Amino acid sequence: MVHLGIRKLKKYLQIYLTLIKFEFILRSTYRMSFLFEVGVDVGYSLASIFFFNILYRNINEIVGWTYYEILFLVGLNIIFTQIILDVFMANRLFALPQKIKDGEIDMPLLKPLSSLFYLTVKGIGPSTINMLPGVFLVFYALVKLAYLPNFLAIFFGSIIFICGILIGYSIITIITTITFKLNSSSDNLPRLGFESIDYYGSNPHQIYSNIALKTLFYIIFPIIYISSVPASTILNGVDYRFLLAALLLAATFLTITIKFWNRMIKHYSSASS
Amino acid sequence: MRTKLYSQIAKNTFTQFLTYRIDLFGSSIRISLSAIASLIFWYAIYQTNSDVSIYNTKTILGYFILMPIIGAFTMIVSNIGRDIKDGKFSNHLTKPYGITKFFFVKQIAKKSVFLLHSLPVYFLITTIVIIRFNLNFNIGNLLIGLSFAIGALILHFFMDTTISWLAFWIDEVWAFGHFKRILFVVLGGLSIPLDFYPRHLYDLVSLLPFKYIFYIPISYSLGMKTDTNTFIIDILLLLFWILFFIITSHLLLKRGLKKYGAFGN
Repeated sequence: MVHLGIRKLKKYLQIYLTLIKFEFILRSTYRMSFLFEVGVDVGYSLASIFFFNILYRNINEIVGWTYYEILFLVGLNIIFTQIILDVFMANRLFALPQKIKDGEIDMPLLKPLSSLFYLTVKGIGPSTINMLPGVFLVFYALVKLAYLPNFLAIFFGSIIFICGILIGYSIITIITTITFKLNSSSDNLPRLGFESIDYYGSNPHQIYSNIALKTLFYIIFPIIYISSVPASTILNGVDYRFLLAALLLAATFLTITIKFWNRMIKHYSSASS
Repeated sequence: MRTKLYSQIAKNTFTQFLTYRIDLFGSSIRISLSAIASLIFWYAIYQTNSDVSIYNTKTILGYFILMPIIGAFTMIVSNIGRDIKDGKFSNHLTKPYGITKFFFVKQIAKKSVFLLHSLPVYFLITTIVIIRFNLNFNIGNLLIGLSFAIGALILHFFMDTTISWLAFWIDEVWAFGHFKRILFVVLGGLSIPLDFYPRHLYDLVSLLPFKYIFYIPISYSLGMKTDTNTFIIDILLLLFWILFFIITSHLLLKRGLKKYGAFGN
């Protein structure tokens, strides 16, 4: 059983490496478009930094987060956003409604691998360069805070961050999958999913202070694990309740995603072939 | 005769976009979620900071609850650049109407359909926020703000066409739409009221056209701008920028048509 599991993992890893190779080939063909894409993403990142710079000229802290702590959070959020956009959204989840409407997912469904993996995961490519502003911001903030996080804080913060990516991916995929039933070619649903986690997940989690907002954003729609809780863990040390919750919620949401996908894909009807 | 022609274009566009009701409704839900996120964020800030810049809790919440409503009037989404790249633009060259007038009429019709589907959603959310936080709005100020929003719509249309005509020369005109949005965020008051800016930066940004898309209509709607001189200057500057983009758009279109090769069609 374990041996089969390892073989399956190896198979998907090999497929993923091939997808990465294709991604690099594709990007090198449309170089100007790639450069403009980098320019746009860097522009949005700079706009985000500019916003907090202006805001902190007028205030000292946001729910206890100082300027450089917020910059650290923003940096982490930029990294998260780029991973989600590059690996799951571009030409995958954004394009899924149109592909469903046009009946173009016949071939992926016939392939001997998970349709969820094939249709929603893309090889990480040169667009990951767009993460650099986020990486720079994270290190810049740590230098300005004159703070070096210990190994445990970085380790557990990274675990929670990865859980946040899985939760974010799951939420967007669950929302997008409704397209199988609606038969609409518009990308409204994947954008709704992405924008929801982007708008609400980029804030410090302490702003969700009342019981209703806590229930919503800590459990039902747990976007606090995207960047705020990982940032807080690295800067302030690990809260084991958040660590446990992140692991449980990531596993739960991933399981729900797989089950929901398998259920909704039964509504798909091919256009031809 | 011409009026009848453009009326028919508007009617056709209106009917065409009515078939995308679900999509329009979906867009308004997305925009509403963004507004609610802003309200939660700014409310949290003002819990620990009572007066920041010239805003208090009520006026800052008023600013961000008016954002989607004003945006419903002033925001433009067009596919002119894509039509040029796909060669579909050549269809317009053989038709008996002015290209700019055609796209303007189409945009107004599309805007009407969007407002029809989005305003009920926005008003519902606004009403809840008004009751919850005891906000007050003045009808006179709202009408002034709305007037500026209509002026901003015209400005934005010609700004958008100016960018779109660049598609005659540049393949990646899609990127300029994003750069325009970034400018709205940084210079237009989309993410933070311009009053938060340091004085020297505020004075510079005030001369630019981007403030008219969100900041100016919202500020007047809230009654934050009461000085007559400022009002006159804002109107004159708006007219200047509208004229500037009309002329620039016209020149770019004229030059672009000479270059247009109608590939893809």
